[in-house]
Amino acid sequence: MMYAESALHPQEDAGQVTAVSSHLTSCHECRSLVATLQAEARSFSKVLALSADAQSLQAPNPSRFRRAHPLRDLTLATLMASLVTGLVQWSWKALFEELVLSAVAWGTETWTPSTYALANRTFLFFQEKGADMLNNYLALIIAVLGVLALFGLRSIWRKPGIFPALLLTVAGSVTLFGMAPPSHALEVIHQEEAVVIDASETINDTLIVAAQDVTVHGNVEGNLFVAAEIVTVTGNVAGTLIAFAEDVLVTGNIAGMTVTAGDSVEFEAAMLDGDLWLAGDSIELDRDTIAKGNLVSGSGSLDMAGSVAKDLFAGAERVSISGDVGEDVELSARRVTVTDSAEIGGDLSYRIPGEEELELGGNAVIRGDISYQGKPDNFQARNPLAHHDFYLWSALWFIAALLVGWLAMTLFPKLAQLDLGDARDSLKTAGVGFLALVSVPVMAVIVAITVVGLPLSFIAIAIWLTAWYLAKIVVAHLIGKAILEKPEKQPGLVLSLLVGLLIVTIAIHLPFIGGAFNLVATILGLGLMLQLWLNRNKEAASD
Amino acid sequence: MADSAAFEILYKEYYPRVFALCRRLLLRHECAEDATQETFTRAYKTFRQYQSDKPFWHWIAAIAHNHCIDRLRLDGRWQEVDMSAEADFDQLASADALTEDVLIAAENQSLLHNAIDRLPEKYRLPFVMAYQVQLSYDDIAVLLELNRSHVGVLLLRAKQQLRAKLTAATKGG
Repeated sequence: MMYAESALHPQEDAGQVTAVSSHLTSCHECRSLVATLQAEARSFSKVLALSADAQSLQAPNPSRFRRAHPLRDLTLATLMASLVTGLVQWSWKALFEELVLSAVAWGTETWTPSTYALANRTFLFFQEKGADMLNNYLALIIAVLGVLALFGLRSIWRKPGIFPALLLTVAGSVTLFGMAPPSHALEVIHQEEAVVIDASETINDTLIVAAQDVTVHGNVEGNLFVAAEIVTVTGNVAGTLIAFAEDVLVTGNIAGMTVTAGDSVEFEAAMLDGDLWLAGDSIELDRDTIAKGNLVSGSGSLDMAGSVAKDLFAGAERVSISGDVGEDVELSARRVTVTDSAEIGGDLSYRIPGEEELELGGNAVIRGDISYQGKPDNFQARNPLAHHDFYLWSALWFIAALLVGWLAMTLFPKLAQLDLGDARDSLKTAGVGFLALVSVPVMAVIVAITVVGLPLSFIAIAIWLTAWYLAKIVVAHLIGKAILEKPEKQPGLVLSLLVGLLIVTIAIHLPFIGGAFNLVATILGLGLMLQLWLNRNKEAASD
Repeated sequence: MADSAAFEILYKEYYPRVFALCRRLLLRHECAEDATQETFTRAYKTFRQYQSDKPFWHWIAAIAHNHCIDRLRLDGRWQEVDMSAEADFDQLASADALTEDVLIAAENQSLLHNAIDRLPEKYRLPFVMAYQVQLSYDDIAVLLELNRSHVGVLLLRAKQQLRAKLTAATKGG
């Protein structure tokens, strides 16, 4: 047997080998036995080798075999944590506060129905704030470099090498150099009891406050973000004021936009340089309040006795205007009162249930036209399909979704390869999608309560909204692909998207069942994308 | 210390084979998973001792084998081979072999797998090392701390038992 399996040692067993070999030359029976034994051994090897190959196993995550470098890991972890913290704080400051708010300010400041006026205002705006905006957009470049630095860190973590080290050094240095001016430090106050910023105090940068009562008598050099039961601002805010509270009282000066929501929102002798975006049960601007921008409000009641330099757009149960409005006034309400003391520089257009509901003082000055626009939307049994706006917006959504879908699936081809699988998989996907739809906003609110959580919460919501938007596009592509798929050929991406989006656009606007279809498409799309993300390592391994 | 990247590649490549080997030696799926992980952990720690001119498979299989023997010992399923009781060197010169029809039937019906699994540890281990890992008699002898002829005897016994089981199964089936 050992001879047959070549197990005899050529030197040590040389005698045996020679003897067996010479015997075999003359013995047919033994030759046959040796051949059979060899065939048997081959057969055993074949079956056992097959059994090994048949184990279509995937090796679990091999992280436990990675080299242990506690000092390096600690250093890299500290660096990464610092970089992430810095990026989050800086993103909040540079991207949200400046870039987004600037864009909103630009949009609202230049908004006007007239093309000529729009161009004129755009030019003026850029003349005044162009340099600042350019700086803000440079922030995007810093953000990209920051992300590259994080990639460098990750690569070094996984596998040290020259390229990731170089990437980390260059991107990290530029990021840290570019993103950390001292004025970009946030001041965050989060406490249960009252917070008072005395008149003698000056906050040199953005202030974020969450407390029961917040009173700001002093100066805030940056933006002011407040969430409280009662908010009182009597001091000066150099940036934007965003306040969410039961009662909001502003008697100070706000140089940027004012965005507030609360049961009661009052302005007394306030000087407001930017636009006002207000929501609440009751909104009041007293006669000494001056707003240099537009006023947009949605409320139970609006009493505007102050001065608004630009347009006033309001939707309310009851609107009373007794102050000055520099340009147009557009109202949608149950009842509108324009008192004798009111002065409107532009047109007054209004929607109320009956034309007679307008109380117009005899001495009120309205320099433009007065036009009754009919009943407010909520007083009409409006059929959206009967209005051309609906088709315009649907077409815009369709085109935008087509472009975004094409871009997303070209950049991330895995999105185009998603599949719902069988009924069980689809149910699982819907469950995952529903959880994501519901849980992310809840978690974002919980995270927002923590001191450093607010920016993270905004980022989470931004990602969630993006995913929400993409969800229907992903499902549309699936539908398009399923319709156009042929055994011998896969349909093109654009064609699949075109067909799918056409179907989805129509389906989500169908009376009665459109909403349900919209919800199902959204949760399925969210579920598919979330599973793709969760299984990314598995996918990468299978590639 | 090992080159992590190189080891990870080897790990992914050889995991299924090492698992199959451990499964064959220990006969239990969960035990085989643990043993496979432990084998790679041990291999990683001693990766520098691996001589790249020799097949990696033989090296990792030897580690797996040693670990599995340790496990079998712990479980009381392994007893040192007493070659005085096994010695039957004469039979090495007059071995029988399975006929071709029995072998074909065994391959096709997974009878061979079942029969191997039912072999006593002292026969199954050298058998698996010889025909699954493809180790030489000398290598197996080193692993089992025996000499080459003893390995031959154990393999002979293993084959005799397999032949008996397979012949009975194919005739009975």
